[in-house]
Amino acid sequence: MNTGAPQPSLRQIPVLLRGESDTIESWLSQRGLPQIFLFVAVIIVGSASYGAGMGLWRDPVQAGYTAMKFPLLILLTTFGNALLNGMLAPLLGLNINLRQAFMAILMSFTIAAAILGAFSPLAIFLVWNTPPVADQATSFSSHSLILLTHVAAIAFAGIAANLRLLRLLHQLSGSREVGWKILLAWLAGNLFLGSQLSWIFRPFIGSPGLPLEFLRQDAFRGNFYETVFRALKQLLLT
Amino acid sequence: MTTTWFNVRQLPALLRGDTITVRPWSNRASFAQTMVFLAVIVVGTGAFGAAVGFWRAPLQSVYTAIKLPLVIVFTTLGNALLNGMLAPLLGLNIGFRQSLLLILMSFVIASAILGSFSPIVLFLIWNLPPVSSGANTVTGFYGFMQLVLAGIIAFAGVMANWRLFPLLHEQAGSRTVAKRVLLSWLVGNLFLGSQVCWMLRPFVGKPDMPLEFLGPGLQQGNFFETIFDNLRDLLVKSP
Repeated sequence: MNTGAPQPSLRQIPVLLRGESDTIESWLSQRGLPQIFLFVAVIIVGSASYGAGMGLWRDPVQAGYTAMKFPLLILLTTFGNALLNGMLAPLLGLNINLRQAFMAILMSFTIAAAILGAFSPLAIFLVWNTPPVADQATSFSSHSLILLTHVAAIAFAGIAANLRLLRLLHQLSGSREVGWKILLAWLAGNLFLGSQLSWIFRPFIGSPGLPLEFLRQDAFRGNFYETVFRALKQLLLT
Repeated sequence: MTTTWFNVRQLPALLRGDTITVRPWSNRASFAQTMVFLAVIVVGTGAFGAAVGFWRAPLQSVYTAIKLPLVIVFTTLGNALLNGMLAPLLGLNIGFRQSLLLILMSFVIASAILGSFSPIVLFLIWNLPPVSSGANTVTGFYGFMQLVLAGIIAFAGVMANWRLFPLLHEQAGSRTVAKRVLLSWLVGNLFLGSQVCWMLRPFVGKPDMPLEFLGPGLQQGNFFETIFDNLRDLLVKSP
C-alpha cells in the first residue's frame, strides 16, 4: 500500500477494517475534502442501509425515515463534538490538531458504518422472518427481539470501531495510558451527545402501539438523562 | 496439472486442499470461473437433493433438487457483504471478491462430497419400506433417514471447512487469524443457512404431510424462535 498520498477510494475501507495503523496515520495528515467526503459517504451508505433494515419491520415509510435519521445521528455526533474532542486530545497528552482528531473519530465511525452496512442484508432477512407488526398477538415480543438484535449488532460495530481507534491512538501517542485516556474521553463525549440525539430522533424501529412518524410529537420534551434518572429513582425509591 | 483456472477436472485438487493449485483460483476472479463453481454446486447438491426427496415421491425429488442448491446460493450471496467485511476486520488481507470465491470454493467441496453420496442415498432409499407401507413403520424410517442425511451433510460441511482452513491460513500467515475468520464465517453462514433451510422446508418430505414445494416454514415462525421455544419448554415448563 502506498502510504504517500493515495487518492481516496473504497480500497481504503478494508485497510481501516484491518486497523493498519501505519497507513491510517498517514491519512490523518492528509489535507483536502475528498478524503472526508469518502468517509462521510461510507457513513451515509452503511448506516442508511442498516437504518432501512431497522425500520422495515414497522413499515416501509419507517424504513425511509430511519435510513435518513441514522446517518444524521452519526454525523451530527461527529461534527457536534469535533471541537470538544479536538481539545481533549492535546489536553490528555496527544499531540494532534483539531483536524486530525476529527479525522480519527470520523474514521472510527466509518468502520462502524461499514460493519453495520454489511449487516444490513441480515437485518432485512430478520425482519422478513419476524411476524409482521399487524400480528397483534406477537408484535410486542417481535419488537423486543428486533430491538435486542439491533443492540447486539450496533454494540459489535461500536466495539470493533473503538478497538481500531484505540490501536491508532496507541500508535499516535506512543503510550497505552494516553491512548486509553483519550478514547474514554472521546467515548464519554460522544455517548453524551449521541444518546440525546438518539432520544430526539426516536423512533428508529417504531413501536407497534405508536403512530408512524418521522419524529415523535414530544421529541423535544424531556431528555434522555432525565428519563434515565426518573427510572432509576423509581426503581430505587419505590 | 496446475492452471490459474478452475475446471471440473481439477476438482480433486480442491478436495485434496492443494493450496498451491487452489490459490490462483481465489486470486483470479472471473465470471466464467464463478459460473463453473456454481455449476458444481448446482449439480452436486441437486443430485443429493434429488436422492433425498426420492423416498417421499418423485415430485418431492424434483423439489428438493431445486431447493438444496438454492439454500447454498442464497446463503453464500446473502452473507457475501458480511463475510467480505469480517475478513479484513479480523485481520485477513483479502478483498470482497476473494472472500466470496473462498466461500464458494468451500461450498464446491461440500457439494462434490454430497453429490458423490447421492448413489448411496438412492440405494438406502431403495432398501427402505416405501411411504405407502403404513404409518407406524414409515415414521420410524423417516427419523432414520433424517439422521443419516444429517450425518452426511455434517461430514461434507466439516470436510469443506477443513479444506478452507489451510487456504485462510496461507493468506493470513497466522493460525489465529485464520481460525477467527473461519469461525466468524461459519457463525454467519449457520445463522442465515439454518433459517433459509427452515423457509425452504420440506426436503425429505414428512409421510403424513401433503406434497408441496414449500411447507409452512415460509409463513410460520422461524428456526431460532422454534429452538428458543423448545429450550424454554424444556427448562422452564418441564416438571
